[in-house]
This record gives sequence, structure tokens and C-alpha cells, in this order.
Amino acid sequence: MSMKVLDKRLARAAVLLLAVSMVFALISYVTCGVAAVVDETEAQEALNEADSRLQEAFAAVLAAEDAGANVTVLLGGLTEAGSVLASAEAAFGAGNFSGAAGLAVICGDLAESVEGDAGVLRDEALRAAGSWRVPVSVSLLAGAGFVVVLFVVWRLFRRSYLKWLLGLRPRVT
Amino acid sequence: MWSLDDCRLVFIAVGLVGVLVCSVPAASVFVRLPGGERFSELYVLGPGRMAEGYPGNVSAGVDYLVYLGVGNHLGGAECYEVCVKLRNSSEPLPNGTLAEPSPLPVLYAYRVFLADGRSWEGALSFGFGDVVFEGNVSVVGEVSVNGAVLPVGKVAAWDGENSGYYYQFVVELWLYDAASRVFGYHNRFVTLWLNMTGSP
Repeated sequence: MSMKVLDKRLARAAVLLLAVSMVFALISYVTCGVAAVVDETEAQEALNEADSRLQEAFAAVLAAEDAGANVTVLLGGLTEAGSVLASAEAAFGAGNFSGAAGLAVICGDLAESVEGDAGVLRDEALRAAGSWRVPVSVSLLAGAGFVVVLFVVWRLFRRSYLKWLLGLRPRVT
Repeated sequence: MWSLDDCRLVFIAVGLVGVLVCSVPAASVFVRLPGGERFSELYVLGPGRMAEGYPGNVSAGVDYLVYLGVGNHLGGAECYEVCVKLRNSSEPLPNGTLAEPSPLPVLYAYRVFLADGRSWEGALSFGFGDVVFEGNVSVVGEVSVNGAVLPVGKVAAWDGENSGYYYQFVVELWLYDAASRVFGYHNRFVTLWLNMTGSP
């Protein structure tokens, strides 16, 4: 095999290797865009996006709370997401833009998860809110029953009272 | 001896009381009793999570730890921001009268979400680097807060009265307004004085 052919094969292999590595780089860029976020502006945008998601998640939690749900666990999840955001902002302040963007994405995912859970809890709470009919029915039935019983007792009492009154004889001294 | 009219009044009174008692379940659904006093707590604890052992004399290259705490008694779920700032003795503190925060930049901001009646405690670990003493001033080049190293370039002049180069952490409490979607200063802050020394 001549040196010329060998060089050609090596060149082909190098081109192939380069192409494969470019494909891998493209795949990693598409599947994990964070790796490409190293720029200060992009990191800032990622932080803003995470902050916005956190606010939306909190709004969803407030809606769940208004519907009557117990949101303590959801708030714990938001605090966890908030601590990730705090780390992201600190990394940004320290000049670590890639780290900041990566943490911002994690924060956003956590917030989104909480937002989803808040929606489920809110729906459950709204369904449970229909249970106001039970205490109101209890009140109405108990109130009506009490009034009827009291009325019957009154009638009986009145009858016996009058009977007793008519049975009294005047005493003449 | 009671007349029949007297007895009727007694029955009517008993009936009214009974109807009131029976309406309690329904009333509990619709009537919300007012809660107690509405307020938020902000506090700082030492490394043992007690109000003692606060770091006082600090030096470069050493890590220190305190805990920050927030309590929510505002009657519903709230979102707080706990902002940590660093000042020297000549820089402004928050203005409690005007309810204005310190204009200094935020070094670290905790985002805390709390249900009513709940509290949160978070660690604030910090250290100083690139500290220089020149003449009667000290310069802190960088501060590490919870692992993040932040450039500050903070200068403190020698305090002859208290014998030291004094810096102060200012921790402010901000409250999120869900309607306007912005944080507003909640007019609460705590501070921690630190005397920068040459050696640990």
C-alpha cells in the first residue's frame, strides 16, 4: 500500500470523525441546549425565564389555596426551586454563566412540576368544595326537625296545661 | 305560677336558640372568622441555630456560618425574598421610617415560599478573600456567599472608637405582590456586624 493511499484513508477517517463529532455536538445542543448557553445575555434570559416560571407556579399555588387545597407541600417544592434560582443568580454574579443557565433550567423544571401539581390539587379542592351541600343540608334538616319536634312538644304541653287548669276547683273559705 | 303566655315565650326562646345551634354547620362553611395580628418575622441565628455564637471578628480565608429565618403570619401563602447585602459603616442602612431598602447591591437573594403560620430557616455561609490592609483602611476584594465567590471591592476605614475595620451584613425582607407580580420591600431587616482582622 502506497503512502498516498494511506494518507487518503487517514484523511477520510479524519473527515468521518469530524462529521460524527459534529453530529454528536448538534445532538447535544438540541437535546441539552444549556450546554450552549455560555453567553451572559443568554444566561440572563434563562434566569428571567426561570423567575417567570416560578411566579406562574406560585400563582397556580395561590389559586389552589383559594380553592381550599392544603398547599404546604407545594410551597416546599417552590422553596426548593427558589433555592436553585438563588444559586443560579449567585453563579451569574460570580461570572459562571453556563452554571447559572443550567441551574435556571433546573429551577424552571421544578417550578413547572409544582405548577402541574397545583393544578391537580386545585381541581380536587374545587370538586371537594361541592361538599358545602352536606353541612348546609345538615343544618336545614336539623333546624326543621327541631322546630317540628318543639311544635309537637308545645302542643302536648299546651293541651296538658289547659287540662290541668280546667281541673282546678275554686276554694271558698 | 307561669301563665300560658309565659310558657309560649319560653318555647319561642328555646326554638330560636335551637335554630341557631343547628345553623352552626352551615355557618362554618360561609363565615370566615378574622385571624390574629398579621405580621412577618425575620431573624438571624448563630451557627448552632441559637441566638448566640455570632461571628464577630472575621478574617480572610475562613468560612463562617449563620442561619437566617423567616416566619409568615400574614394569613395566607406568601413568597418572600431575603436579600443579603454588605455595607461599611458609612453606607446607608434601610430607612425604616420611609420603608425604603438600602440602595446597596444584593449579594445573595433567597426565595422563600411559606404557608400561613410556617417558618423557614436557611444557612448563610460566607467568607472573605483578597483582603488588603493599607494605612487606616481595609479593602475586601471578594466575598463568598453560599459557595459563590462575588467581587465586592468594599472599603472600611479604621474605627478608632470601636477599634476595628467594621463591615456589616444587612439582610432585608421583601414580599411578593401577586397582583402586580413584583417584590416590594417589607420594611424588615436584620444586621450582623463583622470586624475584619488580619489573621484568624
